[in-house]
Amino acid sequence: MMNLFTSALVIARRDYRATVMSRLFYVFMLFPLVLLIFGGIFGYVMASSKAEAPAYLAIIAEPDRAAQFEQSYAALHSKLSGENFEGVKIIAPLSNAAGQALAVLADTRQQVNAVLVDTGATPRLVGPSASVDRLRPGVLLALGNAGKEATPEMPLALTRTDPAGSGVASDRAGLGYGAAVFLFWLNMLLANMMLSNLVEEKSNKIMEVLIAALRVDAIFLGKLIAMVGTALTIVTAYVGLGTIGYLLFAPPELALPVPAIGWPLFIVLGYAYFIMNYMVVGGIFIGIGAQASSPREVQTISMPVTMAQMLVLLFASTAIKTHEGWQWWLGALFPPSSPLVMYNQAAISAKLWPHLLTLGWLMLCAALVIRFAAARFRKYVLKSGPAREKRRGLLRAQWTKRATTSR
Amino acid sequence: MTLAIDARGLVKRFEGKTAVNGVDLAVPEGMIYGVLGPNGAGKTTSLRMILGIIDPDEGTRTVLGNPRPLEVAHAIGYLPEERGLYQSMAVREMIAFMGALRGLPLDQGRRRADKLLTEYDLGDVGRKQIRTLSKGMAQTVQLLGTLVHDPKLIVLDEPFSGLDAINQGRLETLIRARRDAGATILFSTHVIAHAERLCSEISIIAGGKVRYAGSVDAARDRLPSRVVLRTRAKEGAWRADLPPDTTPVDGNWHFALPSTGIESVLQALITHGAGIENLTVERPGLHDAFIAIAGADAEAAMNMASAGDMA
Repeated sequence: MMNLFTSALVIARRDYRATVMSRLFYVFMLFPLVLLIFGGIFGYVMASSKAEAPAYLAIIAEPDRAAQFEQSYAALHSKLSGENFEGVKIIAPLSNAAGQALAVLADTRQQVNAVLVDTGATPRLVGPSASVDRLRPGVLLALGNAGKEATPEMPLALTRTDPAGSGVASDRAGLGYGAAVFLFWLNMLLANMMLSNLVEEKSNKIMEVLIAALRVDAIFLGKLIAMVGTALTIVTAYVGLGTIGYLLFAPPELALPVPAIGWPLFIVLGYAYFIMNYMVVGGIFIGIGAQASSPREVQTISMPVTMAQMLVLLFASTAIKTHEGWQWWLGALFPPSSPLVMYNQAAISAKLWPHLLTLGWLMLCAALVIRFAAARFRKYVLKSGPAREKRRGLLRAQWTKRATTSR
Repeated sequence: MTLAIDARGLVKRFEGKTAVNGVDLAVPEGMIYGVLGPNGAGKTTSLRMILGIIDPDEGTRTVLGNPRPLEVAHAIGYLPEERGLYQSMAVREMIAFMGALRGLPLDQGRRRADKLLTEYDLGDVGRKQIRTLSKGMAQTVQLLGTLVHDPKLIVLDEPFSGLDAINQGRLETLIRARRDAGATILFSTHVIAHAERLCSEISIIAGGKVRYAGSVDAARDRLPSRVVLRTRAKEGAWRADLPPDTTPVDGNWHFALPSTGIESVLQALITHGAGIENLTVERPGLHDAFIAIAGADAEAAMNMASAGDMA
């Protein structure tokens, strides 16, 4: 007897080839490309409209000092043309210059990226980290030209006005959440295909040939492996394309933060979690889809299934945001949301072992899901009277009736 | 004698309705064995239980010595009643895939597919898609896929339905050839003639039960031979010497061969000058035996089913 995996691979190989070699697959592959093109155009428009908005570096100082600074800053600007320099906005100091600076930053109408407060002995640059870090060299140079010695001891004091919890940690949290949502959407787009996966076999009656030769769980596993393979083909193509596009064309503002676990492992884990997410969710879907006997029934079932997926996203988001306590643990352990929550974890924590544990847990869950789906299929589809009657058509039903009455 | 299939007391209920009600089936190795019965009699369900597609509610089955039939799937070939192939697959790929399902490596499967197709005069369709084939051709392809891994046990569910007379003949030849090569063949049919021509042993199933199991000869021997008599004289004293079950049919007299033999009747006919035009003693066909065993209702159902096939 062939073992489970050998059997599954027989099914997987055929399914993968049948899907990837079909003409429709190219349409399928091209469709996300169209989305990407639209997304790119949209993103470009958004980015350029943002770039056109004027932004300023405000200076709070006595008028002549401020004018001096503006001049040297403008001179610097012309020397280093092409760099992204803000225009200088001069603001007369009030008694509390520090408070004034924060007020200016908070006032969105002023469109000020950072404020240079130059009223005391040490000038101070106030603003969000990103702006402060970017503007600091230029401001130092301009200050030097404006007559101040840019000594290393007290060159320029900095006040970072980042909202609480921001910085690398917040960037990583953003990356983690984005990664989780990305994983979810990939899965959502591709796992729904599992719902209708068995309809072909059932409607063209080849199911009987398969189930006479192989265990049902081997068939399910094979179909899952084939779909994971297909999905990975698509994902690798697009992630590869996306990465190349990102490396070539992305503006530096879009720079992604380095995930806590490092990029190589983060990508490997991304694949691992995608596969396991697909196996678990796809396993559930193939089990549900196997109960349906026609494409129409699959359509009917797909709406509630999509809603259930949205609930899983909501559940995972809650877990990610609370980040601790029972909600997090539940999200991390519940098989459909676990890959999302744990992938997010990879962005914010460098520990590897929780991922290995999670992947082991997910493998166990996937095996159980497939077993359970196969058992349900055997019990309710292969053995149930009405389902068989329907499948065998009117004629057979008539004969069964006839045989019953004649008995 | 080793049994290829040994099923005992198989029971299967679907939603409370009993489809198979205690079927025993003992198929010796190397034999062509027929399961005969009307549609809905429980033949397919019995075969599916024997093959391990579904488990029986009660009873046991041992197939090629194994109580779990899927574990010996590599040695079994099964042609389901409802044929089905992947429409977009090439013919030789389909056959190779069916072999792979039973553990035959794909490349070997492709080579054997080419060989089988050539033997069956279908050498030119190997690279065509299944969807381009006629129904009969597709059915042949599925049959070849069922046999590509050289199974020791071949189970064919209604293999003759949907085939024209020529292909039915070819299938009979193929079945005999496989038997001669050492395989055991179990097939179901509702067409008595096929069972009669091919099988050494049969089971007659009706209403979920085995009504008869044994050789075709023994089934026929269960009924007395029939006598058909035609006389010149229509009336006479000889009438009294005919058995009481005599019925006139189209100017002939039909009656069962008396247990004492035909001689006494013959003597009376000669003595009274009935003028014998024709007298034949016919051994009953499986058809008659079937009616006697399965009952007239089952026969009516069979006729209906046959009519359905011809339509």
